[in-house]
Amino acid sequence: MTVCVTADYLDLRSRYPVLDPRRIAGAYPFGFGYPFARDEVSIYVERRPGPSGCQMEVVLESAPGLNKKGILAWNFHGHTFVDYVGNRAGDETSMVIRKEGIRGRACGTGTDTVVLGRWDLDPVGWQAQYYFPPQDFWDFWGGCKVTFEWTTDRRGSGLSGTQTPQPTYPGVRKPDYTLMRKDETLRGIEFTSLFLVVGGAAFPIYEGEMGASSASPSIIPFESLPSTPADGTLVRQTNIEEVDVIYGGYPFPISDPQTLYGLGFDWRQVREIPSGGLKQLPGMPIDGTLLKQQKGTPRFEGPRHTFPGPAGGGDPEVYLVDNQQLRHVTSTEAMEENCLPWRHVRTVPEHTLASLEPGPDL
Amino acid sequence: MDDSPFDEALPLDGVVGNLEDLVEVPPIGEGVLEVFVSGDAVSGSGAVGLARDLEQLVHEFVRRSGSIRAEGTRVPETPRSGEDEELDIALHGLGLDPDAETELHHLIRGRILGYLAGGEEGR
Repeated sequence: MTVCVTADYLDLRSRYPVLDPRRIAGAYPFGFGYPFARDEVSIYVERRPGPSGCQMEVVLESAPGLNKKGILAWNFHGHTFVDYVGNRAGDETSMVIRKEGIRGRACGTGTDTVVLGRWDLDPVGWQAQYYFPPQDFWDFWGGCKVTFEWTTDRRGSGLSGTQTPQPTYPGVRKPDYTLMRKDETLRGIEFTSLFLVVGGAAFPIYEGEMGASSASPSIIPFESLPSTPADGTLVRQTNIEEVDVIYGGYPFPISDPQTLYGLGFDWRQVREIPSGGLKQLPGMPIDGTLLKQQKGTPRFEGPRHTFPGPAGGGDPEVYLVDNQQLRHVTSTEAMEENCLPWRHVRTVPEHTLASLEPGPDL
Repeated sequence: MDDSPFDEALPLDGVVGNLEDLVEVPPIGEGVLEVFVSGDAVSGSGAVGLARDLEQLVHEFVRRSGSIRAEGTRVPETPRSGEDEELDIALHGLGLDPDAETELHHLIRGRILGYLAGGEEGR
């Protein structure tokens, strides 16, 4: 039995926000742009197989001519790095890091966060430049392969971490009801296709359906967008009464208004999508989705996209989508041993998990 | 032809730091004291509560001692407790003198032992 306690005075100027893939439209892999103060880095996040969020594969790729860059697996307890990747001659460019504080492991042996740094000669050593808040770093990217493409060190945002705006969610590239037009020529014949954006996803729509018109003055040229809306999007196919809430890209049907209010939603949040729009969604939520069924008499409690965990007085009956199967997470210990964050648990209507392919308990 | 992925910009799903929002960012402090707690003896939700409790304790202690340094991240590593293998305490960047640091170690130890004793009684 061990307790590890670390107090550290952290420089917020070097700390940049972590983007949460679970609250962005679409499915893995995700690509994020990071204009740091003096550098530009693109970060690609894709899920690794397996239920655990305790490990992460970190890869460094650098633009030609860019050298002496590194990513350090930082441990606050030891106040040092436990592993690193770099682009100097002989450096490894890929590493698997393990979260600090996992049961059974000694203090100071795991990774709290990663530090992006450069190799300096005076004094000789890695000079820390940027890092991520540890809780968000593991909650959002744990269990993933994270590739850092260091594009340039000749320009950046000029903004420190404290000046960088926090991400806003849901992460969508176009607002709801944006109409897009795609003109194509196939075998000499010209075609025009229309798409409607809802929850950050593009749905094909017929000319005239829901009032869509290729002559609309607000129509914009087609842009490739995800096929699945962001978590918490409420959709209703046109001319159909049923409302569905989207989690992990999958539609969970809401049977009645009381259930909708009980989930913390409001009718004004429901978005109409074209006929047959649900058919483009997957048959299972994406891997890594954490779900909990609504129980008891629904009552309005405000938006409830996250579940506070047992400490919040809730029922810890949680399910994880892993390898496209629904696995019951049997205990709080199983949640913690697999580094599954309570903040990602989404509440869905009662009985709606029954239709999902079951898998072994976790 | 070069097949480098840097030759062609890939579509991104999100960007940190929306340039349109820059003027809206309020100025905030440049440094923050954080306390992390982990280990076999503390559960996830319990660890969060204990970390908050200890963070308040350390905050009050360094404020009282008045010796925290604004540029504290380069302070040499503090020796760990060494008295009890089950309790591993590391203090960094607080800028405390040795006596104050020893006192803070004892205070943290006492708070954790109290937490563990409370947990045992509750089981």
